[in-house]
Amino acid sequence: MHQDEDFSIENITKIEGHASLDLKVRSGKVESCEFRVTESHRFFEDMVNGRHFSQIPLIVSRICGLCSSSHLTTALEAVENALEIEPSERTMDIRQLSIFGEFIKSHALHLYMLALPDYLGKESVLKFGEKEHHFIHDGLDLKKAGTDVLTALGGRPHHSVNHRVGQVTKGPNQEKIDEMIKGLESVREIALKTVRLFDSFAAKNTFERKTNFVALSGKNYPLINGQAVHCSDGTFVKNYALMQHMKEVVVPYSTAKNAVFNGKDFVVGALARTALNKSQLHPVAKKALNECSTKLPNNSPFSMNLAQAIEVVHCVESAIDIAKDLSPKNEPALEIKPKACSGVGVTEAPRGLLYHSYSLDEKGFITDSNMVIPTQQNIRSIELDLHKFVPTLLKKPKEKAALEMEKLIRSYDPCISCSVHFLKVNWL
Amino acid sequence: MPKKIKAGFYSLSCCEGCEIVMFDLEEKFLKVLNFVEIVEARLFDGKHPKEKLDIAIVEGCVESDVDKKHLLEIRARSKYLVAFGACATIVGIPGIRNALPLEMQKKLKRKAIIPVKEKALPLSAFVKVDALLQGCPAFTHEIIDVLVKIYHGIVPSLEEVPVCNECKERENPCLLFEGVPCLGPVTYAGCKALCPSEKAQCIGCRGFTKDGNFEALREKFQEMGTPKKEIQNLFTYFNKDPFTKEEGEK
Repeated sequence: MHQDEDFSIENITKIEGHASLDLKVRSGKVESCEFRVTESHRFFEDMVNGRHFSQIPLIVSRICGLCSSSHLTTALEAVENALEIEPSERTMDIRQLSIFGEFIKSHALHLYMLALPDYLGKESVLKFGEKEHHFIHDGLDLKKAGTDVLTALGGRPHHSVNHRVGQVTKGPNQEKIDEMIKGLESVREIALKTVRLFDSFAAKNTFERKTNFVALSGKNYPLINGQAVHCSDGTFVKNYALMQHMKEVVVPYSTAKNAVFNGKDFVVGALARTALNKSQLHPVAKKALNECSTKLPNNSPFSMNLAQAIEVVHCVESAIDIAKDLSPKNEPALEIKPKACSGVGVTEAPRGLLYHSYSLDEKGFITDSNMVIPTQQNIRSIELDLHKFVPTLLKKPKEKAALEMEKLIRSYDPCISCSVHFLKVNWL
Repeated sequence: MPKKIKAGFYSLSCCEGCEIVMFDLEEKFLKVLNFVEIVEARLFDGKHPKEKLDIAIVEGCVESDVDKKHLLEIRARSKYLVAFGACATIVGIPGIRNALPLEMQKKLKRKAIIPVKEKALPLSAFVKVDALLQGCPAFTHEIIDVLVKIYHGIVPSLEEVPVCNECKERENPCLLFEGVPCLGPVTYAGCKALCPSEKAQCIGCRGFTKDGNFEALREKFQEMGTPKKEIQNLFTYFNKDPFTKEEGEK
């Protein structure tokens, strides 16, 4: 690369959705860096308006093919928060397990199918030779344990069909629960192997940039059902007040809004969660992390992969614990009386903090909604990372430098389909 | 080793869930690679020059001219084109915006950074579609079925039976008896009645059948006491309102 270079990567591959990168380098410095989301707007916030609250979870689950359960669960939490419904313990356990399943699925696919080829010098998994085939098997086995959990609890691996406001229409029987546990137990070793694999890669990436971390706060390494959010700058904020600290910013070159927390860029996702809630990890995951040569938390975006691997171990182990106590007994259906109200739901999706809010009229139809997606929150940090990272690549040939930049972007595991869910219009 | 067919996977405006379903083939995914050469797939492969294809599998709907251009370009170099999932086959969830009040639609259009079209439309509004993979998301067993058939040059046809047929095969009690409004009677089967088997109503993700008795089903829902607006909501979950006629748009 030269000291002066205009640089553009169209349609970055191996990320979820369509995005491009435009860079302007002058005298060895990044003059402008635009991570452009080029996917069309998807209008979800406007599409749910006027719909009955009971339909919302199933509609918004379609925002994302990778983290549908997270959108589903966040919407359920928001509507339940509004209607003041407390689901039964069994319903909450089923939800918690689905989220574990989704984390295992999503992280396994990202780590093995999208990120790993970068580190093995291959273009994609399709180009893996005999020698690398065992990685594909490990990745798919891990993913299967996750999707088997989702199938047992929600009918299928994506867009679960039986989750409803306040309840599930039908839960797994004992046979399904036992199978699920067996499946999870069979990947315990692969999960630990994944940690060692990505630890070996993380040790090679020395790039760091200090930023703030933001994650859900609560008990047992909270992924759902948290009541507050905390930030590494010391802020602690209740769910309903989150948007007083997190502000969305429209950028003219992208169909996804960016976000700032307390006016500053920040990072959400596995790295932020392990940084803020490390002490709550499952003992097996904690031990695996202690044995790593890379220490977490650190300020390297490349460590995001290792943090995801640690979370896979956490989710596999925690899911086994919860599944062992899960009751196979179905509960009677819940009658829900609508009323005019509003509520928020905040959860951790695989890629970070996910916020939904809804207002209902007295008959239960949605009058207003808002969603803030993890990838939106990370975009600013991706750009700032590149500002600092690109000048270190100037000695490399252009293609090699481009690969390193893509590698950094892929570490964030961006999910573009999610980030273009919105197009907020001010109704005057 | 038989000659492989060349396939490409593409996504327009969607959640990319259908492409993710490819990984649910798990070990079968590797078997598929024995007779299918995937030459393009942005989600899980690097960049490649645009090649002539035997089969293009396209998910998502057309929201903008960018999508439309992409779709036409794919069609031009593909022998067979398969619509992959609900967005591609029937617009599905993105189509909800088509029924928003006109004034609201205009405002949305003005605000868009990438210009969007008047309506979100399925692939068949712009190009010839050779086969459908219905459902939200698409189903693994059908993906293999379509790939195998097209490998042998047999274009798969649509089986025109409703979800109820498969629901009866599974011996599920009918949800209508329990007062749950279910779209099974008017929705294409092939899903093995997945949702009703989980005691969840069918929401029509595989598309409405040609000859469905919508009137009778609506009356049944009313009789069951489902409020009018909820019924209207249900019929327009994934599909165009069957009770209002709209002129087609190219």
